[in-house]
Amino acid sequence: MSENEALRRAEAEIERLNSELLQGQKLQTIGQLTASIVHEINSPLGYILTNLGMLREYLAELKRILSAAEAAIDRAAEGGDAAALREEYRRIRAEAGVDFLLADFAEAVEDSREGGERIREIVKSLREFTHVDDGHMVPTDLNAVIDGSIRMCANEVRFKATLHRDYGVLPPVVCAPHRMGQVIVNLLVNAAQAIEKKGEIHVSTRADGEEAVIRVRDNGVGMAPEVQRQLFRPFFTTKPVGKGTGLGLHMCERIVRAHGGRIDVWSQPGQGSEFTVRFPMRGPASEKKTARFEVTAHPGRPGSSGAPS
Amino acid sequence: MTTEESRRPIVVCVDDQSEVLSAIRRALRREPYEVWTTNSAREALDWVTSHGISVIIADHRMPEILGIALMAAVRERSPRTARVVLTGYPGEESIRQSLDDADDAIQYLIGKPWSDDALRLTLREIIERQRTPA
Repeated sequence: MSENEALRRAEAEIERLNSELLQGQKLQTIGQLTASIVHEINSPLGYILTNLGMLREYLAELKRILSAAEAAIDRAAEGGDAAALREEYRRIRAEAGVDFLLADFAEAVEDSREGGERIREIVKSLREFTHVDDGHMVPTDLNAVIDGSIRMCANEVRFKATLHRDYGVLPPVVCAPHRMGQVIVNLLVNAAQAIEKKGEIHVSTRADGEEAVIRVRDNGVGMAPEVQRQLFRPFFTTKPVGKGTGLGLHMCERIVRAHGGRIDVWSQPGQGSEFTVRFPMRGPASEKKTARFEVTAHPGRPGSSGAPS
Repeated sequence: MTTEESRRPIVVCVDDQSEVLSAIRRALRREPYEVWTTNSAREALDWVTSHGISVIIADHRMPEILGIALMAAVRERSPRTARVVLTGYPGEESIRQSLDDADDAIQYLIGKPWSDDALRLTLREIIERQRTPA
């Protein structure tokens, strides 16, 4: 085997292991979101099932009215007292509360349809999020990617914070959409977890010269400088055992770096944190438009194997 | 409101999703008690404090407050009101803990998606039990 061939194989192997690591981190995130995802699906499922049961009852009642109406028409046709029959039909109609049934029937159908739509959206986001991708970079609607990430953790965020979106107008941004989505989900989950009771999360996007800029800001507990310094180091976590692997931000930083970009952090204990993701909108400078992780170490860069441990 | 009606027990239901409330109103519309629904935990708590409410059913994950915290407040203000939590994820840690605790802020747990028959049966049993003091 030539030296080049060996090197190529080694690089391919590293890329494969990195992909597995990324996928593992995604599943870890899903694990953290299980409670909210299950809740998010079971709520609409609950009212859809109840509504279907009630619609069956409403239908039986409406059928009964219809039969009464038909019987009245028949009797009128056979020479019955039309005025009296109409009165009788009106009485049956009022007693059965037909106006209510019809209005509520429509509302129950509409609620259920919307509920089904919501479940579809959640399942779609889940599928997109867990999708194994090769990091291939394509021109992407970055704001739509962020919306997808927000949907993934909607309930996790919703009961902790009010989420504000402020999207700038962006041209198609060259990125690996699923991987960038993973970064945003991580930042959002962290933001929600940094909030103790009820807070605010701001998500914004901007085009800044040649760069796309994504900001995720929370007004949670914030971080001390020594925590900030170690944020991107693998296996560094402030979360209790079983809550975090310490790989989330490390993977985020690597994904963004593979896009030729960086993550900046501002944080103040007691005031909150802001993570700023920047990367070139036309893709990384390298010729290959694939979010491959760099094999070489960058001493001094946070999260790289060269960082002091 | 007739005297007969004013004597009917009242069940309060609170959930941040109005579709859930509509569905529960539908499921309980022929039941022998009144059903009051609200999106606001605060309003539910006001009702519990100022009207003799028989049962409160609350979602667990709400933006304003966790169901479990609401139940603790209800127990404080109206110990006789039965407390039911409706949750999409009964396995959740905080809920399991509350059920294990002796101070039981949550007395009954119903999972989403709920069964209408089970919901109606549970509520009838609770109200029946309240009528026949031990």
